[in-house]
Amino acid sequence: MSAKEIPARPRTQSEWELLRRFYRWMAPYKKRLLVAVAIVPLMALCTVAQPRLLGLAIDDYMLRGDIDGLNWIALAFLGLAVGEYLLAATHTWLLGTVGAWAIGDLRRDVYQHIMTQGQRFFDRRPTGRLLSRTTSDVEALGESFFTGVVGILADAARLIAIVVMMLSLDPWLTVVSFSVLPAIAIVVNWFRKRLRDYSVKIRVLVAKLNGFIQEHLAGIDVVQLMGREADAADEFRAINREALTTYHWSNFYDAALYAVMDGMSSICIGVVVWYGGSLVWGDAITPGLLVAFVDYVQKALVPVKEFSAKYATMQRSFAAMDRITELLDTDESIASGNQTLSGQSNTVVFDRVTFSYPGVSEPVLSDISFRVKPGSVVALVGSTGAGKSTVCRLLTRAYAGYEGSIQLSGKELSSISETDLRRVMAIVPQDIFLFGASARFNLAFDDAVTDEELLQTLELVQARKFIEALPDGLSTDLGEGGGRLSLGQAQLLSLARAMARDAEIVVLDEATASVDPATEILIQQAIDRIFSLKTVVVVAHRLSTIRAADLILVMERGRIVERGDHTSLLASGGRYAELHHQLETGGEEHKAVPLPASA
Amino acid sequence: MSNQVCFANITTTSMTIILQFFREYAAKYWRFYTAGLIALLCTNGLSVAIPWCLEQALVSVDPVTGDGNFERWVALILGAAIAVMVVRTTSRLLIFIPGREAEFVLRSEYFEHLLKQQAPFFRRMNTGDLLSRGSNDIQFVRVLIGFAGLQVLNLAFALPLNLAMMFRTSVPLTVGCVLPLLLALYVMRRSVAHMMTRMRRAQEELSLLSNEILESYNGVRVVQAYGANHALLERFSKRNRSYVGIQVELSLLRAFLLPIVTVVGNLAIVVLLWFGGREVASGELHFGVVSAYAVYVMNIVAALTSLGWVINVVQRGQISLSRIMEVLNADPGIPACTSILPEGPLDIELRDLTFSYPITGDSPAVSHISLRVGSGQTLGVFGTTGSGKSTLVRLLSRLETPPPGTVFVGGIDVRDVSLRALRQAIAVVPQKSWLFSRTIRENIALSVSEDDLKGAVLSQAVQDAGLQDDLQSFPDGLDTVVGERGVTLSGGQRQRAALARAFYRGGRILILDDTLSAVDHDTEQRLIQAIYAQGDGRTVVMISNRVSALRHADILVVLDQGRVVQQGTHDELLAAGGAYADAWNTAALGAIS
Repeated sequence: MSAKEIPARPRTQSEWELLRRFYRWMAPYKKRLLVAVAIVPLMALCTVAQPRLLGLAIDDYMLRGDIDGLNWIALAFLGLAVGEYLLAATHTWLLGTVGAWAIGDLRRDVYQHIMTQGQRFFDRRPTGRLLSRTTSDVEALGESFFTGVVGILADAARLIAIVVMMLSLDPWLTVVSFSVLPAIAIVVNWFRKRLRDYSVKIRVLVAKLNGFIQEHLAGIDVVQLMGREADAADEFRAINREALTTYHWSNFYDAALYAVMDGMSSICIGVVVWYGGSLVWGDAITPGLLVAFVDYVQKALVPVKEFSAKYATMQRSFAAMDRITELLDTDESIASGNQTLSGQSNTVVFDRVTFSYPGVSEPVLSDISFRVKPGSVVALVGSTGAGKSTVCRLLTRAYAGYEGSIQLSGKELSSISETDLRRVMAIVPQDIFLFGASARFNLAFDDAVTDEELLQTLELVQARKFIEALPDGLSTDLGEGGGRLSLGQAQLLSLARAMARDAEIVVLDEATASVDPATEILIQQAIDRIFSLKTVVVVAHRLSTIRAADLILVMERGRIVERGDHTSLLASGGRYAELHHQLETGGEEHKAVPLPASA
Repeated sequence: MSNQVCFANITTTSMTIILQFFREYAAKYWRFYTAGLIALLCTNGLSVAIPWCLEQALVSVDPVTGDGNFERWVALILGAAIAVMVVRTTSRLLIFIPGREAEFVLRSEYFEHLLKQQAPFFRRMNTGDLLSRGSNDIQFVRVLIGFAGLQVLNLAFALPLNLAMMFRTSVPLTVGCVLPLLLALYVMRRSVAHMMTRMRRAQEELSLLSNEILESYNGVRVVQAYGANHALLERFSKRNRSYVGIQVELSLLRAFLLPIVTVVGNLAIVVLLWFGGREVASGELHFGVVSAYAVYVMNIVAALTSLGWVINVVQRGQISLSRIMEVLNADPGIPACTSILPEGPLDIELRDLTFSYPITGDSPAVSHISLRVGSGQTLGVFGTTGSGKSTLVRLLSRLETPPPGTVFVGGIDVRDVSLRALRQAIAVVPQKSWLFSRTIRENIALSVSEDDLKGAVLSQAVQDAGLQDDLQSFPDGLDTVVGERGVTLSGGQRQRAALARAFYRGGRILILDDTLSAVDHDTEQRLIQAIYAQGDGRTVVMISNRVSALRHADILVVLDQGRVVQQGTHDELLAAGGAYADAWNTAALGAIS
């Protein structure tokens, strides 16, 4: 594969800073969190009491034949065991719920943040990456935060309790018992590091393998038609083999790490018995204490063995946190103004507007001026890349940062409140987008509109018949991306969406996808209706659309090169006449469409 | 649907599938397994020997009963500890290796098998499902034969060895300690099953949530333009809440049910203290024995804990295995090849061709089509959406298998020719121009090895397809990466790239399925010139609903609802009147006004 891997970005914020920021989402569940943290020392006490009790049982009761006392000790041990279980379970459960809720809230906030960004934000970020910020990263944070960060705290508490207890029982035996500890930590760490490198490599390779399958399944027709099967199989096998080799190495370190940790605990026991045994033999300590120490060492090793794994988890959670907060810190949303608009007779004015896309030096629009009177239709024509769609994007406030002035009813676009702007202006984008929801949702979202009103709107754009023919009418789920509808039907619905609200101004970027002539007629008629009812700014591709406009702006390389109505432009024999000729001989764009009465 | 089929399969044929799998993929690693078993036996022997040495050491340090000669037992413990590191590593490696090797073979074969499958298969299975079989299910199978294999074999040794050491000490004590553990195992087993169901549900909820999010992000322009943020947020929140709900349920199970074996293990220690302690007090047992006994109990707890998981891994692995085998055992249904295509230019003939897709049921996509295109001629196909144009392309290129005796290329039934030979002869530019996320060069050549050899051919193809100017606007020209990680191509650029791919590949028949729909009129005419200029006896099938693209064809057919309603040259069709003539006249009428 020739595609380059994106290198991991180094973290920019310190752990404390990240923790402090993340606390915001945990704060609502503060009480549960506090209880969970308060349980930690109690758990540590239960852990540390058990071996001591075992030692006492041996020294003071078993070896002295005190059977009654033994009953009490057994009972106490039972109490500790059950208590430890209940405490630990409650601790885990509390953290689990706080985690689930906090992560849910965080996901909602990330989602909301992204959904309010301007177009500029989306231009530079592939949807796939935004999706993984909202799902995988948030998920990873939830999983790793509590096992990583909180887990390390609980382990530390346990370890401290054990060491303190051991020191208070016999300092020297404690020192000897833990003499092997540094060696264990070093060895385990060494193995973990190797393992981590391999697991990163494996993740990349597995993603590559899955991506490879996905791509070849999606393009299976091309693969088979072009006879690419054998090449694809070879390439796949090569990546697969690389994965296999990596897996083998990772297996080796994994197996060895597990075995070494296992063996090291036994070595610790050996050391304790060797030094402790000599103390017992010399009557310096009791046999019960030796047994208790063997037990302590075993219990102390658990957190030591798991430390580096938990540390890695913790790092992962910080990395996820860093990526998420970085995203939350990026705000490219376009601020809403506070000016209000009256519902009607809004004139649109572009006054010497110049605009360039971020990171591109050459302006995509230069010195654009025009005026759209209420109730009139302005058509933008010109070849691809002339800047027609950009005019629409600026007008609908998908981008900010233009020079010059864009006014609605004499008020600067940037100063108008978001609600008012969306109320007076509806947009039909060139790429039709339908949600996998009901037809009703797609038309009106959550506006309070009656079915009758919606059906009337659908009637207006000739879409009522096919919507009513759906099994559940307006309530029918349209399927992912509106997959239940044909391309032409989707176009009609997209037009209906603009008509379903009382917006006075419609910004229409005509769809270019070809549909069959019958539907083409329906779409054309729907557009004619819109023209007669609304103030329209249209990026026109169909000749009939262009001819029906009150004002035609011919654009080229970001400038308006000609303006006027159809007849006068045609008569002047300039760029428009040329374009018109091309469209005509193309023949298809306006085939089977009745000529508009005005032409 | 396929899931249900799968589950039905498990109950009836799960053993057959597992046996088939072991025969075909795992059996050849028997040497690894045998050696692994021996290493595992040693490992378990040593891990039982260590507590026993501990017991002996404790007995010998006891000032009352011992001989003080405990150093040799300590030495044995240390020796055993080092030995156990080596044999445990070896045993794990020996048993994991076959799992990985089998995973490798399985994954490669799975992919190769998918590439062989024909359209009916892909209509039956959805891509997401096939993907998850190729990634998740294959991993579960590896875990089944690697990890689960190891755990099962380990249990087979660990349980009897530890139990034997315990029974050696005291039979009633052992029964008293093991009974509660069996109960705990049962609870554990049930809770793991509960957790698994919820984890699967969580997984499903998560993928629904992801879909919801993806849809919102893709439609963000519409959402913002219509001020519909709130409506979308509500939909999102509903999904988000139900996902969080399952997580909360899961956390309760995870917290209270999973540690059950451990807590019961501690109860066994209480039993040991109680009864074992009495025997120590009465002098029947040494306290060292009780210490070692505690270690055996903990060994059994560990083994049982893993058993709860292993049972699940085995079940899940079986399901996964049958899901993979379903694909591997699927017959691509390619008829045997009995003929070879003649040399030189190829003609096309359809004889009373009727074809229906299995899913749409009775109404045929194309019916009773008969026509002949001489070699070197151009066939134009005109018709509305859904008239059967694309089906015709799929049948000609054998993406769909036509009935016998209906589609002939070079006088030979396409069913009798090998797919490879047929597709070498036919270059198709499909309606949807699929590009891989690699360089444009690789997308055109689709085969890395021939790159250097055909540099000139490649640049000629780029030229002919009118892609030259576009390339200049890309950062790395031909080596620009396409897709998510690179540039996004416009519809017209994608079509031109697909056209270049077909030109590069060559072939004696060229089929264009509405290929020029997204390019402007000038470009369209230029490309049509290029297609005709490629000439030298190539037969061309051009499908379009644009009259301008078709007018120069030698033969034109008009399709309507799967039938040929008109046939003739451009002039003949104009004279005859009908849909084609109407479309042409509307264009002309437009020009006059």
